[in-house]
Amino acid sequence: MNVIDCQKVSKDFRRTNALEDITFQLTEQKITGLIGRNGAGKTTLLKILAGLTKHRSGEVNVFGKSPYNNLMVSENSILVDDQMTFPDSLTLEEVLQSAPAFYKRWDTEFASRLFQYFKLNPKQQHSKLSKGAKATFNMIFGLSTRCELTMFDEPTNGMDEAVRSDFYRALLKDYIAHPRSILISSHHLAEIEQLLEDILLIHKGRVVLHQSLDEVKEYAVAVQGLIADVERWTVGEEIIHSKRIDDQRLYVVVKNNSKLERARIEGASIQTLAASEVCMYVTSETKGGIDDVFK
Amino acid sequence: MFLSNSSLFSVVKAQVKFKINAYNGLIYSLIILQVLGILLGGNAGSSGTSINSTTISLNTSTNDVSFILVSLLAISVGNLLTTKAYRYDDFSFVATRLSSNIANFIVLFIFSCFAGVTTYFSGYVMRLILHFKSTSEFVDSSSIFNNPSSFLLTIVAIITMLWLFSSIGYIAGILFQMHKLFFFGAVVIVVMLLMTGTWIRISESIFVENGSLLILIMKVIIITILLLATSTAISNRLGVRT
Repeated sequence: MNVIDCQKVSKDFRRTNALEDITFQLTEQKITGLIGRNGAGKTTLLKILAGLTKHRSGEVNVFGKSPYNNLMVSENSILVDDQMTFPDSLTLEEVLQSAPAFYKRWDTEFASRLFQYFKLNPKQQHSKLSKGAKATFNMIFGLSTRCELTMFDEPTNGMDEAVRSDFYRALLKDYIAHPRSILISSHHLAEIEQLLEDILLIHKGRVVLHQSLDEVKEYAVAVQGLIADVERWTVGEEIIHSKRIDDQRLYVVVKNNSKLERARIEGASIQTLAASEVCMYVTSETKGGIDDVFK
Repeated sequence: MFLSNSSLFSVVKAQVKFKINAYNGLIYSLIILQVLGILLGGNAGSSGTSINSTTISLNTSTNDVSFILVSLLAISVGNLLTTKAYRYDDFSFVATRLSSNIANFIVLFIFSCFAGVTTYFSGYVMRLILHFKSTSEFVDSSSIFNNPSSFLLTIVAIITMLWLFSSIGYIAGILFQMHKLFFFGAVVIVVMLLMTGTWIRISESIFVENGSLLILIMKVIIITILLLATSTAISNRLGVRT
């Protein structure tokens, strides 16, 4: 059964289209990275999946149900982001104590061990926490719910380097011990790459790629060489990105295919790309780069 | 894949427990207002007369002031529960808009019960203070023992009135959260309606012309439930963390 099934989902805010015809399915027990640039629509999509906002058209199903105002979806999913709030009248300790009444699979022991490890003050209020500590607490809360669908929206914003790597490790260990569907959004793919099985790349409100991490890595390659040579090798190819290295040499990113073998024989330097580079080039607005601004 | 599936009832129950626990700081506001009410209402009016060498002075005290202050508190608490901070808190845990609204109505009712009972008995506290403070020879008032059923009815009437006030605050808050213009539009419409003769007649027939307190209580409960149901219907589209 699909955990998430989106068919042609659209959402607009006043004049701008946040999401356009989003279609994808998420199968059970995978860690999927929701990748996209600033303003790509990641947060909007997550909020729709969590039932916090309503989409305009299309069909959204989470566990086979429309998430908006659905109790079962709310009970089995959680969205951890920096806008999570908890009552000011409760201390962090009390917030954690009230969670098991709502989340049937809440792990009290796990929550308190993480809480102690990250040295949070149990008597403090949520709104008084620093940005990083708030993100840490939200992450502890989200992991401890053990929800079948756990979503993180830029979870490491504000966390320092050490807490970040601890968080990724905790997420992975907990996932292995209690497999569930995890959707984690980030614009730093390189940082979360080692966690992910699948990548869902969205750009300008549309799904660009939804493939496994390995497939994404092989999606495109970079060809580098003398301008004339590179242009000849890549003629008829879909050029994703091109950049002048200097007066004589060109660097071009094209979709990976077998025709490039000939170029390789002719001495072209063909480089594989990291998944984060593929995502960056695929979603870049212009064929050039920042250098073009200075020309 | 294991999916838990709780009933609406059990989620509302958990939410009510959580809210009572989280909002119990409101009790301090209630205590302060009631003390203020006792101080202000303790000497509401006095008249005196003297026959020959005997002077009679009559001092009346009332806990109406307490009731008015607590009613204002009820309106503001109703409004408070609709503010973003309070609504968003629900969605950090398990909630739907329906369960949140129902839990809020129950919480408002429980608070109204607490405030109603304490407001009623603040009248007794006032009498006790008058006994010690004033030079009056004689303090008289109707008491529980004179007429137990009317005492109960009075408390229930206070409770339902407070619940009504909190629901007015609630619907006003929801309208304000939807759009500021809705709120001001609603205020203008209500004020305009109140100035027309028919609506004065209607409100008179609802609140003033009642054969007994029991009928008033029934009417107030029905109006409150209507207000709360309307709030639920219009808040169904309110987004969270937007």
